[in-house]
Amino acid sequence: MNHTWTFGKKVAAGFLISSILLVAIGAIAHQAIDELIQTSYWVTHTYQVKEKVANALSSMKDAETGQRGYLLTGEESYLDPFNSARDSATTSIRDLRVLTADSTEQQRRIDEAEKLINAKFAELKQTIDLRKQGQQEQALKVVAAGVGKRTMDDLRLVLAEMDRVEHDLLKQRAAQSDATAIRARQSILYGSLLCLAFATIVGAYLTRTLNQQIGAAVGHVQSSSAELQAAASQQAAGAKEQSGAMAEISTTIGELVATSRQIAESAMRVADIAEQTAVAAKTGDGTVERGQESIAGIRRQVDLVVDHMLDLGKKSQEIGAVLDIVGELAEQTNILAINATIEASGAGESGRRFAVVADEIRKLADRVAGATKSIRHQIDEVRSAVNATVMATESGAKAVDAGARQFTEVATAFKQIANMVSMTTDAAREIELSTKQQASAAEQVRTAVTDVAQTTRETEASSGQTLQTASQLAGLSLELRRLIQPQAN
Amino acid sequence: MDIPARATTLSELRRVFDEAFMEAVSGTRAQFDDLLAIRVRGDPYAIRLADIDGLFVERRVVPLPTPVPALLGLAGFRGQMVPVYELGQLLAYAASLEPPRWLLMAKAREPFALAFDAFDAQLHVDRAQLQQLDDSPTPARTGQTSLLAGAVRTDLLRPIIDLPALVHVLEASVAATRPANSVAHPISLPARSA
Repeated sequence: MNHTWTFGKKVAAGFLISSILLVAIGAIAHQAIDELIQTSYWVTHTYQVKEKVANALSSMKDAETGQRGYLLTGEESYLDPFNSARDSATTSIRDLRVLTADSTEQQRRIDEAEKLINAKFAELKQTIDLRKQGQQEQALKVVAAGVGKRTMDDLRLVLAEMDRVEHDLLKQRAAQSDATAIRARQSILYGSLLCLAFATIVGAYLTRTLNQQIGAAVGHVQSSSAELQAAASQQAAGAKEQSGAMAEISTTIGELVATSRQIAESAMRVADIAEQTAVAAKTGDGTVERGQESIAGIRRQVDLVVDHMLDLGKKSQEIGAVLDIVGELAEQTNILAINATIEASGAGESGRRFAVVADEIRKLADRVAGATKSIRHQIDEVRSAVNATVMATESGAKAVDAGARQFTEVATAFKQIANMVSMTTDAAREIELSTKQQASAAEQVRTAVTDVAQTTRETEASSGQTLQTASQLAGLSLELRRLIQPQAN
Repeated sequence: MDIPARATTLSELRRVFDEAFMEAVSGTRAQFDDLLAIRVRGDPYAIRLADIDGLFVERRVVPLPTPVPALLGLAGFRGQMVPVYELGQLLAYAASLEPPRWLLMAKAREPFALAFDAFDAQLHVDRAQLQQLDDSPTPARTGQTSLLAGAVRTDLLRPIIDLPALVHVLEASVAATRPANSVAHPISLPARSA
């Protein structure tokens, strides 16, 4: 059989061939039985012919017996067998003529037998009539003449020939019937054996094919069920996680909705505050302009302070010049006093008082020099302070200038702030509107997510059912595999 | 500059000045030494007032070609020309980049002057306050400790320069530069290097 045929086609082909074989066997058997019936019919037919031949001979014997009894006794009752035999013999001859219509030989013998029967009955009737007429002697003479006996012997010969012919036919037909029966039995036996062998081969083939194909299919079904089971399990787990995620998303979107509303409220408050800020910025702009005027006044005062400080520095330098002269004088005085002391020490006792004077002059010079140094130190400190003050004042002036510039920038910034606050107000209004729209959209998204979550839960339930079905399918496939392969696990 | 702590006001100064002339001249003065507090390259030194003939400032010194490194030149003092030596180089300091401002006349047979960097004050100290050089470290050069004769502690420890010893060293160094047949005084002007 073709390997591409389906199992049903293979089974159908097997059944078709088996049916053909059965039909063939049946046909052969039918023919054999038909021949056997035909043969039996002809055997029966032969037996009927033989029976009719025997009946005809028996009727003739009955007629001869009645004729003899009547002839002997003269009793009419003895004529009954003669009378019934006449009809019976006629019926038998007629039946034989019908039964042997296919045989001209037998028809010829029947004609001959019928003549002999008629001749016999004529002889018998003659004798019976003679007896009735009271011519018993005459009747016996007829009998004794032996015509009747010869006719009867001839009739026996003809009927015996017919019986022999029928007997030969019977033997021939019996042999034919036996041959037909043997052929029918052999046909049925060998046909049945052939059909059994074919059925066995086809059954084994189909069983093997069934095991192979259905086993492979069941294996595929089993593996597919396992894969389906795993997929359903994953789908169930995924659906469960998705359900959880959807719940979290729903919660988050709910929080987002609440947050959006809060943002909208905050944006509204921001817009209000921005409007107030715009008013304050305009007020601050005027304040900044007044501050600029104040800074310009401070700048002028700082310039005056710098001028005064520079004058003070110049005065300090002049004082320093005077102190240089005083210090020089003190130094010269000190030198003079020392030299005077030296000279006084060389003047002996008379110079001692002069030495005292010189020493005091030197001390005075020392004190003057010390005072001069102190004054110079203080003047230096004053000059340093003046310089530091000038530097600080100039730094202050620069700072004031920078402050003025910054105030200008602040004024510009205030104007920009006012403009930006106005823009901020508009933006806050837009944010408020957008946030409200966002809250509305988030609400819709939350509704959609809730629907999706519901769908996900249904999917989860469906996945669970799918998993259960896949498990049942896996079990069924395993059972089916065990049915076709008991050794399978 | 030493300003007495007791003369902090003008009236106090006046009182101290007057009291100085009211005291009798006593012999206790011999217990004191008068010293000049000077600085050489920033280091404090002292010179006995009895060893000098005079103190001067910013005198013009005319340089001379000479093989003696410490000889700065000639200067006029009281109508005479005297050689001027740089005290720092005599004390083994390196030569100063700027000429010293202060000068002093040393008492010697031949007059000569010593130039130094700064004059601090005149000190009137009790001799009992003078210390030996061995007692305390000095800023003097290691090779010139023979030119120092004790020290005095004021606000700083000041080694006292032994001016007579310095005269001897100077005479010896100048004599070493003279020709053998020269009869001039050892510390008078040295011979020309040529």
